Amino acid sequence: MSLYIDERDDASFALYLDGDLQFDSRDEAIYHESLALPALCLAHRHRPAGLRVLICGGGDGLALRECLRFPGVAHVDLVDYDAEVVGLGHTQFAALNKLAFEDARVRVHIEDAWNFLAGAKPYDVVLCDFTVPRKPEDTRVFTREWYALLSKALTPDGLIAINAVSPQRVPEAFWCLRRTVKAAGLSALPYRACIPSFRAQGYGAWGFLLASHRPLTQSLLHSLECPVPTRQADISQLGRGAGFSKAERSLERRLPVHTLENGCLLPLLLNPGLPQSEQEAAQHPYDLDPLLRSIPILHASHTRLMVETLAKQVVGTMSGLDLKRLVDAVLRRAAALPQDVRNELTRLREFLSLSPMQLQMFGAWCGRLFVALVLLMTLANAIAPDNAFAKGSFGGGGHGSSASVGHSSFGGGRSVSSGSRSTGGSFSGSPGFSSSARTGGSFGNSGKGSFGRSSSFGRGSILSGRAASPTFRGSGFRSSYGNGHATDLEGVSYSSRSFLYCGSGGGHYHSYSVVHGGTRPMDAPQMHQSLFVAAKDMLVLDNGDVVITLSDAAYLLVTNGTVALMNSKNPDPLLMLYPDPALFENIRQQLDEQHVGVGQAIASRQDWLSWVGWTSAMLPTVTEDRKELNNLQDLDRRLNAAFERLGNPPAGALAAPPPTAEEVELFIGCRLLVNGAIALREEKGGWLDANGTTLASEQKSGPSLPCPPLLNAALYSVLVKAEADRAGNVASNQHDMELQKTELDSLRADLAEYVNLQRDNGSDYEVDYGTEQIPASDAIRRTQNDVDQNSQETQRIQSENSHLALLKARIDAALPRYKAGK
Amino acid sequence: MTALKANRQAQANRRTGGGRGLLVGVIGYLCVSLQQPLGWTIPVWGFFAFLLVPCLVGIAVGRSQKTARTTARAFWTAAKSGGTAMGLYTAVHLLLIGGPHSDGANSGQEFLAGLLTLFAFSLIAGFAAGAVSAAVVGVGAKERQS
Repeated sequence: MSLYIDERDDASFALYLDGDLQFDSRDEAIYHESLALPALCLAHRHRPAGLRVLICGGGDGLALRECLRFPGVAHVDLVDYDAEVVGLGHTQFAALNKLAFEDARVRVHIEDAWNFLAGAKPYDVVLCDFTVPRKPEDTRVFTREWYALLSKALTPDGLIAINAVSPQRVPEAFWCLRRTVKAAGLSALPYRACIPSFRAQGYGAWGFLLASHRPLTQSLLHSLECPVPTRQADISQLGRGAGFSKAERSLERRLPVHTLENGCLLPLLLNPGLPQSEQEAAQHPYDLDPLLRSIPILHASHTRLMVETLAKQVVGTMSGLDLKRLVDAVLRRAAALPQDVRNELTRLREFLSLSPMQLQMFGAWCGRLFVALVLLMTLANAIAPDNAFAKGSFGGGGHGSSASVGHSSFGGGRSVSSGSRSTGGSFSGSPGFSSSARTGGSFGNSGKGSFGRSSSFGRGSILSGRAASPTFRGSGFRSSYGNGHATDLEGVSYSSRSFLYCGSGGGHYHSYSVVHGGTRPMDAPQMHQSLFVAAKDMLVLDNGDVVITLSDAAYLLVTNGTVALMNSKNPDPLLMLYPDPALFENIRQQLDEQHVGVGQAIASRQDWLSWVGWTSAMLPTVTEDRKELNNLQDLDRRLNAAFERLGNPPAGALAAPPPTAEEVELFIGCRLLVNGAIALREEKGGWLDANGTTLASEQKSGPSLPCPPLLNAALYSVLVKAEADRAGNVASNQHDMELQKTELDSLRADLAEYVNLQRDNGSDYEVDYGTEQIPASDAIRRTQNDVDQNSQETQRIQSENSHLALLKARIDAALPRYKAGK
Repeated sequence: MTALKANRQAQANRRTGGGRGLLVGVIGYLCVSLQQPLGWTIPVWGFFAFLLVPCLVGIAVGRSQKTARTTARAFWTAAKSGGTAMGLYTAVHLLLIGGPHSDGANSGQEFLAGLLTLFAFSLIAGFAAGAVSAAVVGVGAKERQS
């Protein structure tokens, strides 16, 4: 602690401790009288004599002086840890303190006041004349704990006088001190006095606190009677000094209590002034003072002025900064950075230029879009698995090659008309109607139905593989419909075939018909094109007539309830056949199925175009979709016309009986006989036998006529077709037999292995069976079943081969007849 | 309800307005999807798809956005909801009816046709919904002013 005594020329002097003025000899009496006399006067009331006084601090002896001249003071203890100051009190200040330390009633204790009070007897008056604290450790004697200690050393009527701080310059500290005294359980009466030297030092009016166990009021100071005269202080004015405004007193509520644990007094001393009110801040929004006041002073050597000066210096420096020059310098510095670093910084700057909210929104929307797409594709795939991922639908298959025994097509199954995808394949190359063992012909014994897998056209359904909602595999309806091509329901195009005949519903002309009472047709023959391939051997012509192709040279014309055997070269019917109801029924059924398919295709395309039709101006495929729809609608009309033109067989018409064992049905109403002749069921129901030379009724009721060469040619072509189909079936059967043999060998090998495994490991030993693992006994059983099935299939093929061999014999016998008769 | 609580409630309504509009749109288009457009006939379907349902979406969104300061927000919220609902409706239908007759060769153009249709219909329905929503908000603002 630094001590300085400022001696002046007029013999006055002032004491400074650590730079703080402690007293000025010129007006120190105001301070010490104001400090000591009120407490002594009030204590004197209760104890006129024998007062015990404790002075804490006050080593200068000036407060001691006041106590000693007061009447009734019996004993004074002075406690001060600063021996230097006490020494000055004995020496340099002795004249001023009137040799107070020489008084017999005085006991001086150079020690810490805390320790002194530990075992002290109660005092009537305690004077706390400590210096204003400038360090945290100095504030110990201003804490609640200190005042609590003091209160224990105080008599019930005793009083404590405390050297407080200036309520004018550090009001927060002053009122904090009062609150602290009150927190110790004492009543605290604040009052102040004006000390000129303190005011000149900038301390302002100085404050004191009077504390007691008993309640203290301002009136006590007003009615204070001092038995000793004062030299400088006006005791009568102390009452006024105890008057504080409501605003000043209200400070106390906002201030904490100074305790040993919460030492808040020093910061309040060093940083006077609470924050501005909000109204004041609003009036001066750019005032720096509120900001500066936020900077705490943490050292006793620092002042608010120092802080404000430093802060303003900083502000001034920034104000004077040449920002452009600074930015240029930064840019020059940045130019020296590597290019990639500059690029990164540039990207960073651009990135940061986006508002954080935008980035968050972008991320959120990306997430939402992804979730929506996933949900949509999942939903679509669940509803229509093949469509959602544009897998399409590719029907067909099974044409030609057959790994299985069951062939699906006639003529070896490699015919164009078997439904291959090629466009423009000639329909004329297709196998003839029902001359195929597979799809049309009914060979062998009657009642067994068709020879092959598929029945005769006349007996059963021809259609195989037509989807209810057709999937177009070809673009026939988009491009080639009606343009010299015939199209099937799958959109596959074939070369159109032409048919020349007289067709107006009034009958057909041919010489035989005329001979037997038929009438000549009234119309000239007309050429008609095939437009629609309803089945492999059934065509719908442009006028709605139905044609059943038998071969390249022969066909059946079914119209208006009549069936005519026609050839391709002559418009005249070769022969009017019996209108078998079964034939008409099958045709009608066939047309009906096609019609339904066309209707579904139309509906599908209408729905599609109802959505995307407006894009036809931009997308050619939509325009083609429209064209396709138009063609389908045209086909629909023609099929309706075909229903009308088909007509019905006459009432009472009967279906032909099944062929006998010696007969092989080439087509409805046409049978190959044992002797090579061909029986044709004529229009009136009887049978005509054609042997290549003559044409006679089987009942021998009429004259035999020469078999017309065209009829022979037609029958010959049918036989050739039948032979070709038969040869194809034979080849197919041979292939199947080879596969069966291979399969049988494999099955037998597997069977032997399973048997060995069972023998070696037991029946429950698990073996591989395809993709499964099953017990050996089960594997043997299943394999044996497979072997049995293989055998059965082999027998079936062999039986079929037998029939085909028989057919060959008959065809071989018949062919020369009709070839010669052509 | 205090002003602060009312304001918070209004903010919450504005945030959920889009979701409500989307829900209304989805339900509306589910009803419309009971038949294909030709089943309704094109004029009737057009009325349902581009007027009625977007209007319902716009009203649903507009009522939730009535405390919005501007109609623009109401417009875009309803436009997104209505457009999304129409987009889902169109996409599902096109997937169901567009696939069966695709022959593979033209699938690219068919996909493009579907995509164009989806975007165009979504834009139209969204615009309609947005306009209705903006009108609802505008009417509400006038009522408050009066």
